[in-house]
Amino acid sequence: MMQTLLDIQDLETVFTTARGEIRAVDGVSLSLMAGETMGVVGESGCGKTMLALSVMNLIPANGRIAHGRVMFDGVDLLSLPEQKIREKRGRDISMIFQEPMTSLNPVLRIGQQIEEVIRLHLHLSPREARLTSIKMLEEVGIPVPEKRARDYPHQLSGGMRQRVMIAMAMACRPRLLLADEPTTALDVTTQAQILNLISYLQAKNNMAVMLITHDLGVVAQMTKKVAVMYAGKMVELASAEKLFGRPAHPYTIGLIESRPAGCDVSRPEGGRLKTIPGTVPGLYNLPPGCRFADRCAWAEDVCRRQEPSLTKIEEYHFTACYFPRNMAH
Amino acid sequence: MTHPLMMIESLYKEFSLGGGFLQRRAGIVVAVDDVDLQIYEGQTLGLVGESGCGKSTLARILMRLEDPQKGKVSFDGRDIFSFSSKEMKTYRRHLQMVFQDPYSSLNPRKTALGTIVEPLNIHGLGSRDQNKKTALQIMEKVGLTNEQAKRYPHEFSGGQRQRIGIARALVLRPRLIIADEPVSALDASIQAQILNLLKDLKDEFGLTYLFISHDLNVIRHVSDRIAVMYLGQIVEVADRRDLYNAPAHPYTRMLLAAIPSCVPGATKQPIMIRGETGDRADGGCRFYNRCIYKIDICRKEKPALMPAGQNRWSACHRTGEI
Repeated sequence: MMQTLLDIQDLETVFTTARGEIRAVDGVSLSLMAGETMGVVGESGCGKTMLALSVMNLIPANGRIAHGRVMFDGVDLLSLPEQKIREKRGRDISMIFQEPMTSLNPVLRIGQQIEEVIRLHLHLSPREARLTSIKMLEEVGIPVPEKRARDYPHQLSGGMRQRVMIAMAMACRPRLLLADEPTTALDVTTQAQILNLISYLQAKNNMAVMLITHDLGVVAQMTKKVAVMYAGKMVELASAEKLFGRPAHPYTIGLIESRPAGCDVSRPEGGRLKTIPGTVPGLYNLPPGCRFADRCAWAEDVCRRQEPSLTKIEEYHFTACYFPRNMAH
Repeated sequence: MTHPLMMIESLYKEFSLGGGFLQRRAGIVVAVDDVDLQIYEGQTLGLVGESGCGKSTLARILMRLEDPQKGKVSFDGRDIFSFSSKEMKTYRRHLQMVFQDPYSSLNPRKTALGTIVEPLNIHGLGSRDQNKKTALQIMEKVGLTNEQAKRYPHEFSGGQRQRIGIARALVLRPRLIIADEPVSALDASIQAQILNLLKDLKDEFGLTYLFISHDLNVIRHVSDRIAVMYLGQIVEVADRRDLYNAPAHPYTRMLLAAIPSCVPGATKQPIMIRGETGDRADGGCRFYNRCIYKIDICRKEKPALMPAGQNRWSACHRTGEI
């Protein structure tokens, strides 16, 4: 029996801005088992990053978590005092970001930055911390780690910087890694290497990974479960096979079908792509019903009146749609 | 066979790195290294490569925003570096560019219409009223409404801004459009809309595209012919289907193997992805350090583009054997 590591219940993260209040994360529930990978997909502004930051309780100053629970290993992270949650960040839960250059301190040697995490959480001596940091650099595939530890971030390539970020995130052997677009800024060959590295470290440490990305290809390759977010809501949650094999929500279908055929040489190239008409609604004035209704080819009156909630349609397959497309009508 | 609209021959551009001690040169970077390419009228040539491979520098040279040290570029049979300033103006009408970032490439203080009508006025092509009418027609073609004409860039979404950028490029009725990563900054659902728009416009206006991208999925979708660039050199040129079905150059194979599969659980091609773009070997093949097929000669001699089948080329010493 696998053990639930992270359980998010009805999470709502609200921001107060000059133009009013917006719900960046609106009633999201999901859970992650120990050692499991879940992909969170969506376009910019759908709330996927805020979901991860809410788990860490690291949302920006004008935001607050209005509602919900984030249980990590049986403890509600949202009710912990700041001191306690700081002990968990970087130790039990780590996060890596899209742009490694802005997440590393430019005036500290990379070795020192990794040592800092280790000394803070594991209370090792400076010497032990130094050795551990070099071991971490070696583990993430940085050649000549003793020498590289003395480099500054600007001396490294983008791929190497992301490796350093991963080394830092992995230094305390966390049980959950939140990876927010970890390969978006990287070239395709570097991306493949970083994804392999994450998979390798995950298997080795039995670590759970929440992989946030806009790239369906990355999700298909890396994850067993996928959550699709749209304008702050989770619209579909399923195993990767079901999500790609029989997607139910019109938005998910649109995302999958609007991809160019790409590497899949069995699909014809060229021609017209299917598109999702229109654009994502602004969070300031959301429609009363389903947020996707205006762009949806199958929307009916009820969709515009009342918002559908996430409903189970088959084993481990949930969707927030009155008329899921993969079901017979 | 249609004739090449643009012929690029032995083009070479290096940059010297500043910051050396007492103004001594700290080193040089060869951004475009002996590039030969033809762009045929009515076709889309896809130029694919990873960051820093020189694809944008190549585009800037074709736009004459940079001058190369060596080489020749002819447009419709005429050398673009020998143009008089009047001919240059005509050339710039025939060649237009669409940029990656729809946020920074539009003037925030100009309305959509103002941005689109400006090229017409600069080139003095018609009366102000006529130009305005032409601009509004083009706006409609790219999917913008008349009501949106008076709005400023910040009032538009990324996809709509890219439509403005495309309208601006199109309004002069160019023959060749250089699109430098035109959909890379856009979300997936918007990306498809813009790709379809570019395709429709190509059919309607008989355009030729040089489509630059790092995204191999997009490149396969839009291109008739594809050139793969690595560290300043063209390493492979082939028709779309040939390139994706049977990549000839080891670098192309590695690139294709690195694309995440669209199908969950699909087994990946057993090609090791190794090294980084920075690992370049001096003297020999630039891909030497990362190549799994390398032999002795690859270290010593730089391979030139050689025929690798019908109508396709690869810069590899082992073309035909691997």
